[in-house]
Amino acid sequence: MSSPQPPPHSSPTQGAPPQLEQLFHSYGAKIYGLALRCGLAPKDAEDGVQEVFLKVQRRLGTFRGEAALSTWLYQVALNTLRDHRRRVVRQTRATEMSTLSPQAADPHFVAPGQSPVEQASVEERRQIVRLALDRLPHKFREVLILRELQGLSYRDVARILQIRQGTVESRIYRARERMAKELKKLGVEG
Amino acid sequence: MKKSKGNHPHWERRLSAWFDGECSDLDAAEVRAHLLDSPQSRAKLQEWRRLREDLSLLQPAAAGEEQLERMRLRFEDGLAEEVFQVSRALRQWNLAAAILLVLGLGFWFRTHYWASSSHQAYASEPSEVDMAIQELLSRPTGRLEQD
Repeated sequence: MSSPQPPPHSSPTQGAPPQLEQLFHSYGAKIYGLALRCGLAPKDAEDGVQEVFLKVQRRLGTFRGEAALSTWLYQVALNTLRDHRRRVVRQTRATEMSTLSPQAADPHFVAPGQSPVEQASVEERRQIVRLALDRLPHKFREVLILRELQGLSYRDVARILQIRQGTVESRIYRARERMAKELKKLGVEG
Repeated sequence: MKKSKGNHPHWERRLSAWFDGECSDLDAAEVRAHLLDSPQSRAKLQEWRRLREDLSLLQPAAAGEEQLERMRLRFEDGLAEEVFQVSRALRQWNLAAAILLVLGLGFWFRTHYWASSSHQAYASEPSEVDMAIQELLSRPTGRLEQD
């Protein structure tokens, strides 16, 4: 007996429900950016985005409107991406391939007037910074990503991580201290 | 207010919040006054500025329209796959329930209907062969010897 095949996605009658499609339209790029900032390579980040929105679809019914939708979405995204990243790291270790990319940042970005030597130097520094960030405990890494890279306020960070604002303040301070130490260990003078 | 000249963590936390623009006007004024008096805190501020520059190297390029469209299609694909998986699981459960129902009904018929029909078979009239055997067995022994 042949099992039925899943339907193709290209049918015009199919697709995400309008609410989800709107969510994807509004937040897809932001979540992708968050996935890259969390240290995922572009391909893994795309997988991560898919996983996040599938989880959002499953849990949309549990959203009670106590927080802003964006905050709730970031909570789901951060947890999902954390798990996804863990899986990728495990697979990377298993296959001994460098799936986690230090080039989460735009690898083709070249500041105007940069020579090849300067480009190489910037790239090297980028990799070191990525490595230092990856070495931080995840609670420190997350606050730095949300604050410094995602540009969120302490209040939003507190809501997303479900901790007090005062905790965010002290955690960011400690994360900066740890990051500076890690950079020094890797030979980068602060 | 008494100002600390040392690098006390309390001040550094406040300095960190000020650096992020996350403190009140009053706090900001106090931190600024503290900074005038504390070279260590000024050095710390410089360190954080460099750290911020370093972290900005990790800023990714924005996803392009084409890439977003590809991700949207992948998401829809995943959604369709998920719906398909759920409906397939439901079909399998339905099939399993139907099989269980048929088996249950079969068992019930076997224990009730089939058992009572067997009893009726025992209660039926004896066949001709049964009657002939019965008659043969009931004959007197002497008559059998004469025959």
